[in-house]
Amino acid sequence: MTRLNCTYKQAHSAASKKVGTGTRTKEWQYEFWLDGKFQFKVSIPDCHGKDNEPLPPGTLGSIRKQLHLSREEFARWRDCPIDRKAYERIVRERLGL
Amino acid sequence: MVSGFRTLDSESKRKQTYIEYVSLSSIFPAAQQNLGETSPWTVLSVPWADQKTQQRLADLERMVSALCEQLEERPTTYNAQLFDLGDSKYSLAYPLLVVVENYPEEVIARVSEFNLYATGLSDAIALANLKAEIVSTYDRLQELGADNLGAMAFQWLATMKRIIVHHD
Repeated sequence: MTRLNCTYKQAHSAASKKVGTGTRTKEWQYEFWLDGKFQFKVSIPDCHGKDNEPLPPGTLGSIRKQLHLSREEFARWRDCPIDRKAYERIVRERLGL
Repeated sequence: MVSGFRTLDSESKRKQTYIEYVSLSSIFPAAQQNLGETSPWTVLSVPWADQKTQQRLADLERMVSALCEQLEERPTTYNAQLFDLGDSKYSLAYPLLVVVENYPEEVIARVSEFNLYATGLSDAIALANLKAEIVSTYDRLQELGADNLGAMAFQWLATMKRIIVHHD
């Protein structure tokens, strides 16, 4: 089992492209909409000038769970291989949509 | 990383090195302390170790390193109950069970049922943030209305409506 790694910047960048538009409350909330319906949201802490710092392991694991991804899938979601369409397919499969 | 070896006394086995414990001090400092100076374990270098042995040592080192990383990611966990949501507009019909995970550098409070989490430097802060997260999610789901919710979000709203009492 490899350790998950992701910086604040990578997480925000991937979420805005593959989950949805982010709105800021205390943290950034990215809403995932599919078929015209709200499915779930993903919370990612604000960078506060820590763009290139890694997210702490607990936060990272929590984000991964909110995304409904395995560790291996998360690594691909963070990078390019899983784009929005591929992510939609995974969510459809996981949530039975 | 590999710090402990024990060699057998007999000449025939002089070159036979047994790895008795690996990086014990980095995982269990107390155990290392207990072994003390009377311990049969001696920290040795193994200049005579052949390539295969060196390779095995390197493999072990990698495995111990991976194990340490996994331990770092494994929190101490306990359950807690929320008796209110920290907002005068809302109260809870009955206590809400949450999970609190203590990591070395952060605390995560989570309600798995609603797929929500919040972070903090202490348990109290994480729980307070989680309450705010529940309230903001409830407000957002109400705002969107049942017609705009997917199956799972619809279930969250239905459950929240049973648990959360709104005071007008």
